[in-house]
Amino acid sequence: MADIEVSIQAYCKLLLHAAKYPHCAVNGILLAKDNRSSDNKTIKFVDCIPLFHLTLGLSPMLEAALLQIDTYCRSIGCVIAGYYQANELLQDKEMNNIAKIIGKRIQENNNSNACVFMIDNERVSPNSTMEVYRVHIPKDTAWNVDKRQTVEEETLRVASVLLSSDACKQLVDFDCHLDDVSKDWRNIDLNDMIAKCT
Amino acid sequence: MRDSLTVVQLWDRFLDQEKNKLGDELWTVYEQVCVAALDCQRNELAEDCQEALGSKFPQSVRVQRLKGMIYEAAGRYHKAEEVYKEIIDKDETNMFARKRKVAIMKAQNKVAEAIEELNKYLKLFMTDFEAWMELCDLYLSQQDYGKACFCVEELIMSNPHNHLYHQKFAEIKYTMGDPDSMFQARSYFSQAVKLNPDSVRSLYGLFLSASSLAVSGAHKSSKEKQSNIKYAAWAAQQLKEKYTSVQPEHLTNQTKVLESIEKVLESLTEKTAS
Repeated sequence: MADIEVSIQAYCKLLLHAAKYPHCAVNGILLAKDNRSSDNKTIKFVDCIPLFHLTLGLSPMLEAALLQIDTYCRSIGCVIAGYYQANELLQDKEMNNIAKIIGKRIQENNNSNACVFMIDNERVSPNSTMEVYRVHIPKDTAWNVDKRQTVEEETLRVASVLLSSDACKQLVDFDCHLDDVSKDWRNIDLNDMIAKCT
Repeated sequence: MRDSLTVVQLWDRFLDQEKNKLGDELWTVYEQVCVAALDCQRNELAEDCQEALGSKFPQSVRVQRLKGMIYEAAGRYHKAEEVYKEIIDKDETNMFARKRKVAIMKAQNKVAEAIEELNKYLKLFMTDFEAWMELCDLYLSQQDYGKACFCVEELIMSNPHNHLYHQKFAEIKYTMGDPDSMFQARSYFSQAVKLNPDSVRSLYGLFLSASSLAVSGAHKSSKEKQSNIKYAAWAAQQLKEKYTSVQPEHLTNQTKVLESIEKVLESLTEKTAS
């Protein structure tokens, strides 16, 4: 599979989502630049849309979210190419059925390219020196762990700074949006804050 | 709404120093800080609070359960279970200790045991709505949608005006996906919208379930198909009005939410024409 890169913005929002709801399972989508017409096949994840922290396993709100996100990301030249999930229990970092089903769906809609990022809850810490997730890529009917690095040192540094601050309180996920549609699931303000840290 | 970090911060910065001025409120504060401290992995602070409460109320079951929770936070589940067993032996009606036993199994990923224990609990305390919802979520984690529905049905029977239960039932039926379930999903989403017309989740649910029924091949008549298209269109209209009235215009334009809803509606009428 092609190389995978995750931008600072995507990585930080993913991490802040997990940090905001330590008592819940969380999940979300990663958007990649649409590279179908380019020769460079590196998958560059440029943004992350946090989805849910309440029940992850039910379809209707997931479909509502994917409907909105799909239309949005086409308008900015991106595709839905990744999915992340943090399980409820601290030590549980396995891909469960929900992750497999959603991962497969993304793969089917994206030319067989998809990545699933399973967050290791024990690495959600400002002192962490490793990427907070394990990357799974599809191989036949299974999902294999891919050990290549996806982020740079600078990303881990910025993530650590943000985790130590109260930044996670500002994060809006799709559940927050459904409760109050004036809340922006793109988290533009948070994007600016992340940009200022680099 | 749990905000344990703020509670602990308030204790650290102000309340700890001003303990003497709190009077009798001090003991409730100690209890709340204890639980908040456990959420934030401040186990020593939790123990300090528990000891202070223990000196003041040595025979208290309420204080004893905090001891159990402290053991849980430290991962000492056997000790925690002993504490809760003692509480239940002293007082059979103690709901809290029984629920903590379920929590311990959940924490160890023993889902089947947690389900069994929670079922036993609900036979004794069948009006505990929080427990029914927890059991529903445990069944959902095992993809046992039938039993999850049963739990929500219990909730709907006791609280027929609560739109959240109708909505949850509808979401589970939608997830099951077969035509009969989708039909029920649509009905329950409709009821949820009737009970709370502002619920965006229920409106989306109605929109998507009606759309799904309109394009599926399982109609008995084309009149049914037309009805579903009408329901979908109505729900779509409510959603669009909600978005345009609440969201700032630039946000609506940039996130393309109206376009995404239109896309689905157009696909319904295309499929009718063919």
